[in-house]
Amino acid sequence: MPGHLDRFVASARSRNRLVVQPRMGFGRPEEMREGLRAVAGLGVSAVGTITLDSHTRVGDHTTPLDRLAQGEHLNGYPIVSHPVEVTRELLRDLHGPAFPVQVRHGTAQPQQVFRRLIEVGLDTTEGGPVSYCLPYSRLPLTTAVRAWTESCRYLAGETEEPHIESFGGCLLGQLCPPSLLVAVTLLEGMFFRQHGVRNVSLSYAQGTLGAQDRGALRALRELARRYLGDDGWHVVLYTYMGVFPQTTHGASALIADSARLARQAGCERLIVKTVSESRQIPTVQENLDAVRLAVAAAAETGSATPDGESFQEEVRQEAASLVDHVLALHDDIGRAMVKAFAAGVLDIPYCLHPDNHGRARCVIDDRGALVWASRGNMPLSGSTQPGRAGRVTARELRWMLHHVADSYDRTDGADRPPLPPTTGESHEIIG
Amino acid sequence: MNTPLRCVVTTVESDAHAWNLIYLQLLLEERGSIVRNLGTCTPVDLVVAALVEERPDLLVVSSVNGHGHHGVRILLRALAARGIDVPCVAGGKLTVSEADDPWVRRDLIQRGCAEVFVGPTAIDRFQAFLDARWRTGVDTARPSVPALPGRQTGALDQTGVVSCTS
Repeated sequence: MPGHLDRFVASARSRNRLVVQPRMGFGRPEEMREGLRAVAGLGVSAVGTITLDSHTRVGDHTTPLDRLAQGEHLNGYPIVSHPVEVTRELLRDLHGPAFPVQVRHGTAQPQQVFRRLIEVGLDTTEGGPVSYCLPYSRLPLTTAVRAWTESCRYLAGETEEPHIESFGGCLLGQLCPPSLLVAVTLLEGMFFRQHGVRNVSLSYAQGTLGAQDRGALRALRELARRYLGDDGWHVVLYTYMGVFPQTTHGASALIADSARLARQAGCERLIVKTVSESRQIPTVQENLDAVRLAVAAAAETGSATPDGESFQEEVRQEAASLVDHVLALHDDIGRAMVKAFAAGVLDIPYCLHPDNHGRARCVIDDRGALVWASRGNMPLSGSTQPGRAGRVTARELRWMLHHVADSYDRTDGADRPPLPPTTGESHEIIG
Repeated sequence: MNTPLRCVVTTVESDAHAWNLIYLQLLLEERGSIVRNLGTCTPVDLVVAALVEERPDLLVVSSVNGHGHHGVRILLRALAARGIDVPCVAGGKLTVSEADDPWVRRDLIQRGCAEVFVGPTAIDRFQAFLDARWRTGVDTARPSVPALPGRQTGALDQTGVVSCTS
């Protein structure tokens, strides 16, 4: 005990409810508590989030308090800088079986964050040795793998039922074919298990095409059963993590579509963005509105008649090939992943980190799907988009980065392709 | 043909966003510039070392995590303390609220930035700034960019703003 998150998600699943979670962090304890209290008070199946500020993410624990003292605002809660008692007080009567709170941080060396979240009475966090290093840190991958190994073992030793969500389904947030997202989140889930954290969640970030996303999410569930067994995991979907629509109608439609996607593909949990995402750090009210919007869209959506089978097949084959090749490199999954990136067996498109091979490229094809323009050394079959050879211009890159935002901003949904038919009354979750 | 503009592209230490940096590198390279991209979460010392080593014509600081104003102030102080006078431009989402944009721009220019690009026309104004200061001659010489589906926008918005940590 506690293990609140896993029980909460299991209970919601049994009641056929999607768990919705905002991404929320404020620098001052009173603001953070107010935000959590407001989410808890919504009366929906919501999980609370303490998102840490970006100074804490890079291990700077003095700047946050200096800046708060000067009246400045932070983009998250500096959990290591604030005293333990302050954060315990913040969580008092809030974090519990009816409202689990998760710490989201973005830290490649998370030992201090893990130590502190245990000290304040929490046992649920997220990230991963690859997903919080290559996209977001300058640290060598070997350092992040060591740090995450130590942190997972520590969390497993100090808490009874810890939970870690892999951020591997996001990577750079956009322009990554789904098979690599699925492979990395599976590998990180297996890594957490190998170091004693049994309960994990596997992530996937909404992409550019619904049918591809539904196929990819179904492939993820199939492969999760293959590599992690039947229980001890669930799938969390992230509302689109790339450039976000600037208009309220565009952002709202994208958030609602992500909730529908979560339902159609049987995801247990959804982490939402807000309508002000493209402009600024969202307020409490904007977070509440986003949660309500997602809950409403999910409630009117049943599980979909399976579509995107060709995408599902492709993602299953590619992701399984990546995972199997990595696992063959070393019994220790952390070391296997380090070797895999060194050899380009895993290669994150566009990632600037020196430990990433940097030869893979992704583009959006005529269907609107995310496809490989260059596979680098990855053990993937298939042909590269004709005439590309992996070269992308600034204008093309900009168009692709803004493709989702622009198409949602352009219309209030009238001329977007209709959603696939749903089974209506049948509200069972595809498991 | 003029000598190519040599740029160092960087962000601030707390900022893990990469797409803005990837985009700016491509944009500058297509204008004929030579770019050293320092990547994400760049410590001040690393930026200083790169400037000493490269002696570039321009330092481009792009940040979208809301802490850019803070980070650029620190960077400018470090450059001044070490007597480095490479022209520096900054842009992106520099604080947690867009309402801050006008005064943040004024503040950073006062502290030594050659120009600051925020808001929806940031990239257009950055390109106009480059055009006014450095005519590379490359624009007319390079082949035309292949047509793409979708909006060929004249008013580019922010520098590939992405919010994708945790």
